[in-house]
Amino acid sequence: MASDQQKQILQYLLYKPLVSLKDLEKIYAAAYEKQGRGEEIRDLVRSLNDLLKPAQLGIKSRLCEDNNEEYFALINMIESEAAKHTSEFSPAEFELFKWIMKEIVSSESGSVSSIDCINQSSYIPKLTKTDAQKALDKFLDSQWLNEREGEVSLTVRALLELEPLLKKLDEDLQNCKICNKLAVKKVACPDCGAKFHRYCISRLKLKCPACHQVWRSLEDESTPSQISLSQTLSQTSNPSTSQVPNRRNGGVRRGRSHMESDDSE
Amino acid sequence: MSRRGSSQKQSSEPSQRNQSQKANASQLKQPAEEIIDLDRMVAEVIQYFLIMEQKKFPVKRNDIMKLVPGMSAKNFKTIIAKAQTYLDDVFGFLLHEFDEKSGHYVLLNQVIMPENLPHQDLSENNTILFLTLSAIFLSEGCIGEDEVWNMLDILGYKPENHKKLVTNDFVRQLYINIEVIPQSDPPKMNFTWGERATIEFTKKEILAFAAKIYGQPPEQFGALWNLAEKEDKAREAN
Repeated sequence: MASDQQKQILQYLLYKPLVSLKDLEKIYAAAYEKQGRGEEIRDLVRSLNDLLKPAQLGIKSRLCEDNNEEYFALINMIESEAAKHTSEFSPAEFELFKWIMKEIVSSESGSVSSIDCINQSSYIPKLTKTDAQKALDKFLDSQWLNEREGEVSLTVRALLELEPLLKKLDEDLQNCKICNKLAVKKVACPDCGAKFHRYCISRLKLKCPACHQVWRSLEDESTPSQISLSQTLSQTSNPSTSQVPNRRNGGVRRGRSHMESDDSE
Repeated sequence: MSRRGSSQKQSSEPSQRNQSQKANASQLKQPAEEIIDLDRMVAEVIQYFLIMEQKKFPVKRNDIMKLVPGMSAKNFKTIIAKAQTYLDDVFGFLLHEFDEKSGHYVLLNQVIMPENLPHQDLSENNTILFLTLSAIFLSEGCIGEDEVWNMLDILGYKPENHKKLVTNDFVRQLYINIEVIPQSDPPKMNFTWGERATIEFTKKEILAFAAKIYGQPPEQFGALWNLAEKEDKAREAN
């Protein structure tokens, strides 16, 4: 039996299934009328997951590939008939969504331009450009996709819930060899080709754990479209900008990698 | 969705051999399988209700029956009862059934959200819903469509942007009923409250909303205030 506060939080998550850790702390504070940190948030998620088990739903978390912040998503733990029968998208919209997913996972940058998404409507029957724009807005609104500076990418919610579908769309899609989570936004070792998240390899100070070569930089010369590390460093910081791992601090806070002791903690 | 041996392997004649046999493997498996399947069916029904509730669409009994293989008239009652208990215990939703015969359900939210936790109820669509329901109520239960479009227009909601919402979505969600005025040329519609509005909102709530719009305390709405009071008393008596 859930407490009133747990019910309130679950109701919130039904409408906004994807929340950042900071959001979740605010939600906790709103419901319990006091600040909740670390352990209390973990306990909350654990207790909610116990409550959600009979419905085959669950709250999972993952670090965002853009800014390495932790995000939580209420997702379906099974491929349910209920979800199949109640798709929020029309067949044409779903065609567009599948195309977007395929473009995203087949790219190194893990993104596709929103303009390309809209133009793709020419290849989808019963989808005008206006429809495509509306569909894209729907995808953003329902927290499956993110858009930043004209580039569309997958949210943590999509990564958590749609992984089987993503892997089907591109055979080459792999997990990061360091944290073993799916790497959609990835960099490859110039020597052995192993794939990693930027944050993961930065944390290992650019030393490839597979072939032990040290990379000169995160910049991948073979894909000119990729934003280089020096470029991201020079961007002025704003809430939506990625938090760039600064080598001075020895990399990123929370443990993606268990392979090397983190001298910043 | 794979199922282990969904066939009913039950031997219909409990022969002496079966009864004396210890732990026949398929007999042992079978009750456990049924429980797993039932739990899975309950989970599917719970999810179906939750997803439909986000769109505020009513759930039809027939659609639930067709949802997963294995749902039958026999286990339907059990499954619905379990789903109902779960939805109340965990989410605070009351499962409400309209009309025993045709059998459709909606979820009624019993949870009061804290003010600083934003919620779906604050959406523009909900505002338009309340405005429409108020207009109908203030018009003694029935209002012509043109008056509704005018009202929305004055308040900044362009009718052409919201016509589909009101005449299509709200009707499907059972919030309002529309009927074409006979012999109207061009055809015009009347709006009345739908059955979902009747059980989800009290007249007092709608009146309080209208009072804010008109800047007039609810008690000054005369006959309408009396209607709202009567409804309250009737609810308390139940």
